[in-house]
Amino acid sequence: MVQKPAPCTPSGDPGRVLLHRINRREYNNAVRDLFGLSSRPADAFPKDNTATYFDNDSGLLGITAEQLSIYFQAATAVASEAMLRSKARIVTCAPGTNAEPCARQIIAQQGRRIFRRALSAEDVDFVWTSVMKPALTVEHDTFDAAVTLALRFFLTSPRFLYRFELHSSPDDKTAIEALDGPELATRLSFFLWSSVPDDALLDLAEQLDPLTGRSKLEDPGVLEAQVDRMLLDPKARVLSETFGAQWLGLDQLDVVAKSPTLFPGFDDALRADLKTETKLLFAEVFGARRPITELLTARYGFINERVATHYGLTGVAGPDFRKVALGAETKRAGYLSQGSFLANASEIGRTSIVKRGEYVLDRLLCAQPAEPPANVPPLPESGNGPPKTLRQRVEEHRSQPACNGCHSRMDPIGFGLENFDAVGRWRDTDEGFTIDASGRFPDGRTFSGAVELADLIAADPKFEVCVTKHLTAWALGRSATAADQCAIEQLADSVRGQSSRDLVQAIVKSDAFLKSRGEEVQP
Amino acid sequence: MSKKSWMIDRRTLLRGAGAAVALPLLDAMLPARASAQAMSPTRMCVIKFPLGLHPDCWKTTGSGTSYTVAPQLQKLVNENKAELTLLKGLHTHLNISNDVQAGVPTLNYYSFGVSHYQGTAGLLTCRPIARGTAYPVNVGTSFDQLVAQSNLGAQTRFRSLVLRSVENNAGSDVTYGMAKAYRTNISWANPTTPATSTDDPVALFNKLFTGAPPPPPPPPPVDAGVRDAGAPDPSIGRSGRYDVSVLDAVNEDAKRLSARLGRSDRARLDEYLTSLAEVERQAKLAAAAQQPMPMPMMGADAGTMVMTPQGPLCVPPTSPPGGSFGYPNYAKERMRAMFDLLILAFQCDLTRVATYMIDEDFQPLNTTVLVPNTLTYPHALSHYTTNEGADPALKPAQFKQYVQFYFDELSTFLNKLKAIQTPTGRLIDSMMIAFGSGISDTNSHSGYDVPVVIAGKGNGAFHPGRLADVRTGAYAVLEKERPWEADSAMRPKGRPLADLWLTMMQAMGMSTTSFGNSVGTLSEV
Repeated sequence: MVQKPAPCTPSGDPGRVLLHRINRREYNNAVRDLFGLSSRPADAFPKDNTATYFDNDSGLLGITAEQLSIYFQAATAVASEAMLRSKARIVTCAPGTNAEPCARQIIAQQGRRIFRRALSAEDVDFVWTSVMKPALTVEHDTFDAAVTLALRFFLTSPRFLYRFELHSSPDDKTAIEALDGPELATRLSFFLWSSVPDDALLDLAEQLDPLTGRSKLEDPGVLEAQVDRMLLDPKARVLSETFGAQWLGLDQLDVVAKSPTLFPGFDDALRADLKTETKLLFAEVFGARRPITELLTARYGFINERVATHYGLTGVAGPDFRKVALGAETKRAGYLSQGSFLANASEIGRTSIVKRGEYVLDRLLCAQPAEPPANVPPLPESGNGPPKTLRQRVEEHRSQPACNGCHSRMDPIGFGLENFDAVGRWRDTDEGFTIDASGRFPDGRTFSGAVELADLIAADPKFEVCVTKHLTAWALGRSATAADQCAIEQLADSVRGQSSRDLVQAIVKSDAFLKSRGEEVQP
Repeated sequence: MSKKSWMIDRRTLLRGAGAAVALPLLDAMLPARASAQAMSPTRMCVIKFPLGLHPDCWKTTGSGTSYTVAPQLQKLVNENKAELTLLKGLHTHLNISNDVQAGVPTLNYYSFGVSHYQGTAGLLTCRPIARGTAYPVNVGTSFDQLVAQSNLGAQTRFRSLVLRSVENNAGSDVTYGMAKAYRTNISWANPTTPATSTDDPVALFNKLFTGAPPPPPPPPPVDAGVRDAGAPDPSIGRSGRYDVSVLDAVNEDAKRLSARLGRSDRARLDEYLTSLAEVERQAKLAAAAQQPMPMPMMGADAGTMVMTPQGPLCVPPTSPPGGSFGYPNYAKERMRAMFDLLILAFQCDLTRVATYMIDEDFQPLNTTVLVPNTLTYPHALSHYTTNEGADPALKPAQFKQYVQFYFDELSTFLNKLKAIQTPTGRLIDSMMIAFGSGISDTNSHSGYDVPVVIAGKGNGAFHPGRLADVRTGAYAVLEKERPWEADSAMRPKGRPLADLWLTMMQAMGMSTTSFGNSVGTLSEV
C-alpha cells in the first residue's frame, strides 16, 4: 500500500488567471448559444497555440493583428447570419417612428448576453450614440442594418473575445477578492460547457442577496444546484470529451505512424473507433457519476465489432458501440488496456516500455521523471548476442546507476503492459519468448499483468491528485503552480473514491475557482 | 493615371490569363508607381527543416567558390551552386563568451546543448526561452516579424506569411517544463504570442487567393423601401462601408477597460489594441479603395502588369492545390504544396517576408515514407547512437538519408523559383532564402556550426556561388560542462546566427544595428 502524501498547509493563494482570448471551440459554442448558429465559423480561424495539454490555457491565448482581422471579419459574418436566421430573438421590439427606445433595449439585451454581464447605462449610451444612431440618422440605413452594426461591435470587442476578471487592487498580490457574480458565471460556463453562460445562470449571477450584497450565485447551495444542472445539460459533454481527449493526448492517434507491413489493419477507421472507445469511457465516468478511478479500473468498455476484432474479443457485431463487461478472461480493464493509449505510447514497429512508463508517470500520476542524463549509453541491441526480449534489454540498461533512479519507476509500468503490442493487440510472446508481465515498484508493490497494474495505479493517491490537478487546470485556464499543490492534494483527498460529479463540485468550491488575487509587481 | 486605363488593361490581362478571380487594385499597385522602381523590392524567407543533421552531412572542404560538400548536399550544390551561399560556423548558443568564461550552462543549454524548444522558438528570436509553464511564456520577437511590423511590411497585402507543420499532441512538454508552443513556432509576433500561422495548403490557398476567411453567409434581407435615395452604392459592400466606424467604436470602448487590470492583463489588452490599430489601418485602406475587407489584391511588384508570350508573370491559381495532405502523404505532398504556394505568394508580391517551419521535431511521422526500412520516428532516428526506436548500427545511415531528403527538396524548390521572372529580372535575385536548422548534430544537441544555406542575392546583399566560413581563431572548450562537445577539445570560434538575421534585416532596409545576441553583420557573404 502506498503512503498518502504528507500533510501540508495550503498557501492561501488562489492564484490569478491571465486575461485571455476565447479559443476556437469556445467561439463556435458561443455563437451557437448566443444566436443559435451552427455554422462553426471558428473552424476557419488559425489554430490556437497552447502551453500545456489544454487549448484553453491562458498562457498562449493572446492575439495578433492578423488574427484580430479574421475575428473582425467573422464578427461581420456572424452578425449578418444571426440577423438572417435568428432575427426574432434579437429584434425584440418594433422601432416604430422613434427607433431609440427599441435600439436601447436591444443593445442592453444583446450586450449583456455577449459580454456576459449587464451593460451600464453609460455603455448603452455609448453603443447607441457611437454605433446605431449614426447609421440611422446620418447614413439613413435600416433599423436592421443598425442592429447588425451593434452586433458587429459587440462581437469585435475585447469584452466578448476576452474573459475579463477585474480587480480592485490589480497590482497587489496579497489582495484576494472573490469574483463577482458574472465573472463566476463565466468561469462556470467555460469550465463545464466551453461556452458562454445561459440566461438562467446570468440571471442568478446578477441577483444580489439583499443582506450581503453578494451575488446569489455565490450561495453554496445555489452554486451546487447550478453545477448539477449544467452537468446534466448535453453541452457538458465537452467537459468529458474534450478535457479527456486533451489530457490524454488522444488526437495523437490520428497521426501516429505505424508500420504498414507489421500492422496492415491499423487504418483510419480503426484509429477513429479506438478514440471513440476512450471517449465513451470518459463520457460514462462523468455522465454516470462514476468514481474517476474507473477510468483505469473499469471492468467494462465501449466497443464495436471492429474494436472487438482488434482485441480478439467475440460476441460484438456491427459498427455501433455498446457497453460490454470485461471479464477476467479478457485480461483488459480501463484506459491502460485501450488501443488508443497503447498505440500512442509505442514505436512505429514495436512497443516502448519506456514511453508507456513515462506517459503514465507524466500524464496519470503527475510524477514527471527527471530529464535523462546527457550522453545516455545505448541499449545493447538484440543483434549483438543471443536474442533477448525487449524487457531483458531494458533491464540491462536499467542496471546502470545513472539510469536506475527514474527507470525503476517507469519501467515496471511498461513491463506490465508488454502483453499488448504496438497497436494494442494481445500477444503472449515477444521475439519468440514468453512475455513476463509482472513487475515490482521501488516501494515494494508487485503485480502481474495489466489489470493488476491498472488497479495499483488507480489506488495510488497520486492518480486522483493528478486528475484533480489537470481538471483544475482545465477549469481555470491556467496550470497549477507550486502554490496550488497543497490545496489540490487536500481537494483530491476530500473526494477520494467519490464520483466525478463530487470532484467537479469540489473544484468549483475551491478558492482557486472562486477567488482571484492581484498580480505581483515586477521591476 | 486614370482609373479607366488600368481597368482596360486589367480586362485584357484577365482574358489573356483565363483567370476566373477578380483582382481589384489599389493605388499602390498602379503601373506608374511599379515601373518607377528600378529594382524589385528585397524579399526574405526562412525555411527550417526539422531536427538538425548528422555532422557528416555538413562536412565541407575548400572555401570561396571552390568547395566540395558531403553526398547529402551534392544534388543541391550540383543543381544550384550559383544561387547558394553556404555558411559555415554559425552557432545558436547564446551568450557564449560569458559562458565559456564562467563554465556554467545557462537556461538554453538544457543539459544537452540546444533543446528542440530553444532550437525552434529561439531560432529567429535569438533569445533564451523562459523555461517552465509559468506565465507568460517569453522568447522575444522574431526578426522576420520585426521586419513585417515595420513600414516595409505595410507595402504588401500580407505583412508576412508564417507557415508551419501540423501541431502534434505527443511529447512530454510538461515533463520537460516547456510550453508546447516553443516547439511549434519559429515566428513570434511579440515575446509572448506566436505569429499567426497557416498549417494547411488549402487554407493557405484560400488565404492568399480568395481572401475570404471565413466564408460569408448570405447578406441580410434589405428593406429597400426605407433606403435613402442618396445612400452609397450597396455594391461597394454594405459591411465594408462601416468597417472603420465599428473599429473606431470598439477602440474607444476598449480603452476604458484598463484601469482595473494588472500588469500582465494590461499587456494583453495592449496587444489587442495594437492589433486593432493595424486592422483599422487596413480598413481605412479598403475604404479608400471602396473595397470590403480583406482586399484580394496583388502587390506592386506582382508582375500582373507584364504580359509575356506565355501570359502574365503572376497568374493566381483558380483552385486550391489538390491531393491529400494528411498522413501518410504528409511529409512530401504537404511540403511541396506549401513550397509552390510560397513561390506564388512572392511572385504575386502578396508578401515580402515569409517563414516556413517544415515540420516540428517531435512529429510522429512514419519515417519510412522518407527512409525505407526504418521503424522509428524522426526524433528517435536523429539520436543515432542510442537504440531508442531502432538499431543504432543502422540509424546513422538512415538519418543521413532523412536529412538528404530535405536538402534535395530545397533543390527542387530552387529549380522552380529560379525560373520565375519579375518585371525587373529574376525573382530569386531579389530574395534571401535562409534554409537551415538551429541544431547541428542532433544526436548531441550541438548548436555549433548549425546548417544554414542562403539562396538568392537579396538584391546584392549576398554573393552566391560561395562557401563562406565565418569562423576565426579558437577558444577552449570546458568539456566537463559541455558533454555534447566531448568529441572535441577545441572548436573554432564562430559567429552567432543572430548576425545572419541582422544582415538580412539590414538588407531588407531596416536600420537596426543589433538583434538578439548579435555582434555585427556578416561581411563574409
